[in-house]
Amino acid sequence: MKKILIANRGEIAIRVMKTAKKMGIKTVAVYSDADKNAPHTNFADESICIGEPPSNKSYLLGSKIIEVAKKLNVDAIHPGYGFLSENAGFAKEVEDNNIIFIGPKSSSIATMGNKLAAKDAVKKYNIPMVPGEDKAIQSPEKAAEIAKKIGFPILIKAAAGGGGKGMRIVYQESEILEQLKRAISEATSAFGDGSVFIEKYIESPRHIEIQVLADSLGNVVHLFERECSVQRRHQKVVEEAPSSILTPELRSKMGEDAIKVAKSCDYLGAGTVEFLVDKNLNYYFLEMNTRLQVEHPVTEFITGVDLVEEQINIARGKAISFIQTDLKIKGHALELRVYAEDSFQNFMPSIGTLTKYKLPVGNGIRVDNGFEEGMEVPIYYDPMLSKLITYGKTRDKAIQLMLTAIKNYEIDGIKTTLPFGKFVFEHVAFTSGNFDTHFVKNYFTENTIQKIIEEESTIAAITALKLYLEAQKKIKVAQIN
Amino acid sequence: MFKAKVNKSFTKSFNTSDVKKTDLTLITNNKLLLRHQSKNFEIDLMESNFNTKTYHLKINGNSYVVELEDELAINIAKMGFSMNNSKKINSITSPMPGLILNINVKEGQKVKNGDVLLVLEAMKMENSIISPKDGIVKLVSVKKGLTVEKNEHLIELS
Repeated sequence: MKKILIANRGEIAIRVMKTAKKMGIKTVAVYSDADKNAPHTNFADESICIGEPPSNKSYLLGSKIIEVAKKLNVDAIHPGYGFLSENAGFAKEVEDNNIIFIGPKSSSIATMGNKLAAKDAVKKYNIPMVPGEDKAIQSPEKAAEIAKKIGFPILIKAAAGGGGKGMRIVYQESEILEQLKRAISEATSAFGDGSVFIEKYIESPRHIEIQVLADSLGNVVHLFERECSVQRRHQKVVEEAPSSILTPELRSKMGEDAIKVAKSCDYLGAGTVEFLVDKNLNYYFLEMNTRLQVEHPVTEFITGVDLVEEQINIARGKAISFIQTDLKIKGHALELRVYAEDSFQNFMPSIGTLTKYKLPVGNGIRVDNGFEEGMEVPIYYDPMLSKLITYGKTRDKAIQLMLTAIKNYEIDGIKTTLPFGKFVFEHVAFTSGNFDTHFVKNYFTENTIQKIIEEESTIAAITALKLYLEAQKKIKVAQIN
Repeated sequence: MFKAKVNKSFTKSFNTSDVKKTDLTLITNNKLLLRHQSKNFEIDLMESNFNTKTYHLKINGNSYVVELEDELAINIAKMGFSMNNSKKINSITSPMPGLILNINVKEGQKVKNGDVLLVLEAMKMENSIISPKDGIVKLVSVKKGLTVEKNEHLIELS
C-alpha cells in the first residue's frame, strides 16, 4: 500500500494523513470548493477538487471519489467518520474497483449500518437489548400503538442513523406526528433512508462504548471502554476513558460481548460497540459503529495503540500488532469536542471567521484540529472545529490539565463549546463521576447559565468602569501638565 | 454614578466608590486580573474606546461588550429624552444562518402559539421555528430552498 485517499475533510482527514505519513504512505486529499484552502487540503501530498460545497455535491459523491482514486493510482481509501464511512454501497463500489477499503467489508457495514438488521444479527448471541419494536414504521398511528405498549417516553430512531440525526424523544402522544415527520425527513436527507423505528427510551442511562479491532486472520480484541455520557442533542461533547463506573469484571464482560458483536457480522478493522448502562449497571446493546469514532484518541492515550496504524495494517492483511492480554489501561484521558456553537444559547451554531485561533500546547495535551486563524467556519458541514484531548496519570490530573488547556485555547470571532467544557470539568457531578446522559438537562439549566452570565457581566462592568476611570485620571493629569 | 450596559442586555449601576474595593492588575498588555470579593478573574481586553466608553472584554472565553454611561447621560435620560420603544414579538427572524427546508404556513393563515411556522436546516440539523403567540401570518418573506443569514426576517405576524 503506497498511496491512500482520504474521503473526508477537517481534523479527521489530517489525523489519518499524519499516521499514513508516519508509515511512509502517500496521501491524497479530496475537497469541495468551500475547502480549497482548508488545512486538510494543504496537508496532503496531492489534493483534488471533487465538487461544490454542499456535501451531496462533493464529499458524498462516492463514484466521483473512486474515479479520482483510480486516476491517481490510489491503493486504498480511508473514509474517516461521517460522510461515506458507513455507506455499504460505497464500500462495495470501492471493493469492486479493486481498491482497498480501509474498514470492514461492505456486508458488515450493511448489517450494522441498519440498526434493525444489527439487532437481528446480534440476537443469537444472547446480548441484552433495549425493549422496542424492531420493524420500521411510517404511520403515526402505528407509532402511537407501539408507544402505548412499551410506555412513554419513546425514542424514534433512524434505522440508518448516527450522530443524533433522525432521532427524537417523544413524551406524549400529541407530539408523535410532528416528531415522526422531522425524524423521517432528517433521516432521509442525512442518510438517504427514511426508515425509523421505536425503542423504549431508557431514562438516565450512561453511554459506554467498547473499541474493538478485528483482523483478517480471525483475531478480535477489545481496547476497553469510552464513556460518552455528556451529550447535547444526543450528540457527544465530552468523552473519557476509562469510565469511572465500570468494575474490572463488568469491563471484561462488556468487552467479551463487544467481541461477540464484531464476530456476529464478520467484522474487519476498527469498530465500536455502543451500550447503554443503567443505574443498576445493567447494560444494553445499542449499535455498532463500523468506522473509526470521533472520540478514538482517548483510547489511543490509555492503550498506547495508534488505531489508524492498526486499521491500515489490518487492511494490508496483517495481524493486529498485539494480543488481548498485552493490553493494560494506563492513566486517564478526556476529550472535549470544540464545536462552533454558542454554549449559552442552546448550543446554537455560531458561524463566522476565526479572527484569532491559537491551540493550547503541552505535555499530555493533544488537539486534533481542522482549522486555522483567519478561516471561516462553513455552514455546509458539521460544526466541529477540533477535539481537545488531555491525558493524566489519574482522572483528576487529566481534568486539571483539561481546564488549563481550555484556558489556553484562544478563539475569537465565533462562540464555541469551550465555556461549556469548563463548566463540565469543574462540575461536581462530573468530577465525582456521578452523571448520566442528562448532564446538560440536569445541570446546565437556564438558571445556571443566567447566573454565570450575570456574574461575568458584573465582572466585565466593574473592569470596564475601572479602566475608564483610570484612563480619565491619566487624561486629567495630562491636561494639568 | 455610572450605569453599565453589558452585551446590550444586562444593566448595572455603580457608584465610583463601589469599584474602589476591587483590585485590577495589569498582567500584560491586554491581560488583566480582577479580584472581586476575593475571587480572581482573568480578563482579556479585546478593545477599548475611551471616547465612546465602550469596552470589549473576554472572561472565561466569553465575550462581553460593556457600554458605560455617566451621570450626565443618565440625567438626560431621566428627563425623558431617551427613546423607549417596547416592541411586541411580531417579527420572526432567523436565529442562525441556514437553509429554509419547508414553510408550513401561508399569508393570512391563523396560527397558534407553538405551531411550527417553518423548518430551518443548519449544519445538517433540522430546527422547527415555532410561533411565539396566537396570531395571523401577515407576511412570509422567504421561500423554500432559500439560504438565510442570522437575524434575517422570516415571517411577520399580527
